[in-house]
Amino acid sequence: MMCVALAREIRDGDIVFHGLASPVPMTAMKLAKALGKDFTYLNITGGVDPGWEVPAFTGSTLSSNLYQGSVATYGLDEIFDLACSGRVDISFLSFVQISQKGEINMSFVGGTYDRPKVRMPGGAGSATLTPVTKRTVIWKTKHDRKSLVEKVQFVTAKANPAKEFTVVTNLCIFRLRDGKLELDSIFPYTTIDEVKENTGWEITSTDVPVYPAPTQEELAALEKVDPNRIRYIEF
Amino acid sequence: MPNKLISMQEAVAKYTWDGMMYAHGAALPVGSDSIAFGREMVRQGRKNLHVISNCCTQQLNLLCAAGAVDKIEIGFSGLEVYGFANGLRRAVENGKTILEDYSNLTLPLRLLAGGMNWPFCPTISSYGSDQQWRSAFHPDEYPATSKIPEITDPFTGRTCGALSPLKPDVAVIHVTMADIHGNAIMLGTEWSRYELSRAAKKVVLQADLIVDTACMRQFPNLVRIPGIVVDAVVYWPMGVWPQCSTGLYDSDEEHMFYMNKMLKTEEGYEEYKRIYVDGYNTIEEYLELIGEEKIAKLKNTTTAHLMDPYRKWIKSDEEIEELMEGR
Repeated sequence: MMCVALAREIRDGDIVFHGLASPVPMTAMKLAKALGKDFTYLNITGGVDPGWEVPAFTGSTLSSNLYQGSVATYGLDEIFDLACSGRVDISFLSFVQISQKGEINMSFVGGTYDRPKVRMPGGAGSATLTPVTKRTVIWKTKHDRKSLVEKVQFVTAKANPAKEFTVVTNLCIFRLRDGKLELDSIFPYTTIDEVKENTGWEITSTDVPVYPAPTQEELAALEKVDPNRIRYIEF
Repeated sequence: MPNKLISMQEAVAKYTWDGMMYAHGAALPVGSDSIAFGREMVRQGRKNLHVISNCCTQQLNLLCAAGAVDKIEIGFSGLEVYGFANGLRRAVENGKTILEDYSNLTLPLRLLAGGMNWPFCPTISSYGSDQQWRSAFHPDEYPATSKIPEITDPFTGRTCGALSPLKPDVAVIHVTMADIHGNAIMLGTEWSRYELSRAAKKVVLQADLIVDTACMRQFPNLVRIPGIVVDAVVYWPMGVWPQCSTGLYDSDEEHMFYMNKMLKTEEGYEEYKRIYVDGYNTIEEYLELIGEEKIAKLKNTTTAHLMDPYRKWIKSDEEIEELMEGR
């Protein structure tokens, strides 16, 4: 469901990027290619539009799988500059914690900054890409109160209210409106109550549609691009 | 990615306009530059251009002789062994064109700063010379404060210069080969074409050859300008003539001298324009103008072996015509 939802965010003509450890966006982008969407696939190997037909064999997205068949080599520094020039349409990013204001914490939880209880991986490209990407799309495969919190302790990156900002979880989709994440739709297999129970902030606007389920065509294409089911690694 | 092939006439009509900031490359006095594109700009009567050049080339020489240029920012304004650039000299000396000097490092650094979205670029090049203190754009100001202002290095406390970033409206870049999506491979020196492709708001490629995308998939590391930054691709063989395109053809020394001599006077320029700007409409007519014998001689270059890995992917004129029609 998440792969399909991410793939549907991609439009013809887009320039789309994902970073490290991103099997769900990788599968979504390959799925979008298989469904005939005409966009440019950028990733952290530096490969531009790699051959998406070859199935992934690992959840790592810094593997040869995302470089083989590329039409050019464009490194991460160059991709960042491309984004700063306003030319990247979608960055697929994730988080450890997020608040309703779209503040992402990737740095630490508990204790203090100089002596944290849990030191997390850090922001990688998120602080660079979030402010400048036209449509930041955040994915999170585990929607719970530990991850979607009222307040974060450290803001590693923050949603830019002037740009589109979307959060896709395993339960629902939020979109940023007036600087706040508002529920946009819920997936067919969940309920408003389940979403509310698992979200650390109060969800007020609950009159939202059920997101359209994957079509047979999408499901068939998904199996084709990911026969090794690498996408399930994140769940 | 879309098919970005476009005819020379369309490209000039669509991507250039009077008063624009126009950059061209590689902007080497002898090597690769999008000279055929410059001829078409003259033919379409572009004027009041603000040109960014790392070096002078026969393109800039011609544009200046045509009176099309108001401002130039440049690292070197001669034509190497072919002499001072007479068209450029005439335009600058009669006050039509104002020329601002930089070095061949500070100009690319300004492009790099544009490409990387830096607010400015610190430099110790051009610093301390009159390239810093004198500005042709602000002739009454001395020492000039707006060209390369002095700043303090916040780490060491020493002073250095600050360069303003450049983001040209359009860069027209010559490449050896491109696919229809704008992925490009350059043979020979890049000469800041890479920085130029990152800095410019729009990029048009002028390619000697169109190759299949399979060529890029074979050598993705050699594709320094990817299609994602390219807006249009113009196929124009021998497009650098009379300068050289590494791997494909050498400089036409005879024409280099002849062209520069003609651009020295208004009458000479008119005569040159009649033959070598207005005297052809198609690629075939352009090649006829250079002459079969001359082309064969120029193509007999000692760098020809550089093309060996790519030959099997080169598209024929017929295939390119089909691709143009299929847009």
